[in-house]
Amino acid sequence: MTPEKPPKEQFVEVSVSTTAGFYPAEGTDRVPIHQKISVILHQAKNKLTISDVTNWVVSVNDANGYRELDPQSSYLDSGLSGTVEIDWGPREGGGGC
Amino acid sequence: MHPAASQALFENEAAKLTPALAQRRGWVFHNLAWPVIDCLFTAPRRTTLRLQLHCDDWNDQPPSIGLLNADCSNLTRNLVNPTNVFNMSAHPATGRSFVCMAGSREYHTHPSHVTDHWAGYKDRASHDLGGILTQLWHAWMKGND
Repeated sequence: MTPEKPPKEQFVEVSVSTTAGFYPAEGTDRVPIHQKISVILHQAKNKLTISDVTNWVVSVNDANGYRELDPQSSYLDSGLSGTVEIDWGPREGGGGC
Repeated sequence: MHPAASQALFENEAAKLTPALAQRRGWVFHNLAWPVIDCLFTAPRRTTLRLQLHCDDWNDQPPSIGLLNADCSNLTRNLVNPTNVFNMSAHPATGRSFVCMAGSREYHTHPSHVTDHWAGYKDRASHDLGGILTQLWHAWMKGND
């Protein structure tokens, strides 16, 4: 009897845009689809030397429309696949005038 | 702030609003030269919004932000606006619709917010020019008109 092979890991191609620049600077990073989104955000923060990400929000605007993402979720759990273009920046404040 | 220092700071921050970032986010810049940022927010199936950020005396003062139609006429239609950032009532000083969000001159001069001083925001990364524009974009993207 042939032992079952573990399922092949799937990947997504990810880039992060901020007003401090893109991570990676060009193209995409290939990351496991089960990886938390926060991992690439941490890498982007360090590489782009972003000092303060308090109240920043992660979003995508793809075929399913614009939506915010939970950075503690994986790409798979966020319904993301293929090429993922993440936007990262400060959440809007205000209202109430 | 000395006008030359204000211009230098503006130009340093405006340089980060690159064509690649604009393409990613659907921003179309008609002007990025001191002291005005003139930007369209565009997205499929959305009505384009035009914003003009008048950044004279940046960053001792926040930008005065005009809400416009794509053709540069004053915005009069109601924006579907779940975040209440885009206030369609008349601002007491300008008589026009305005951005009700820290980082807009109209917010900090509105009688409801004159005690919420710009000085408390001006040095935050979230309130440099790119940060303010990003916040406005997030607010707009949450609408659906």
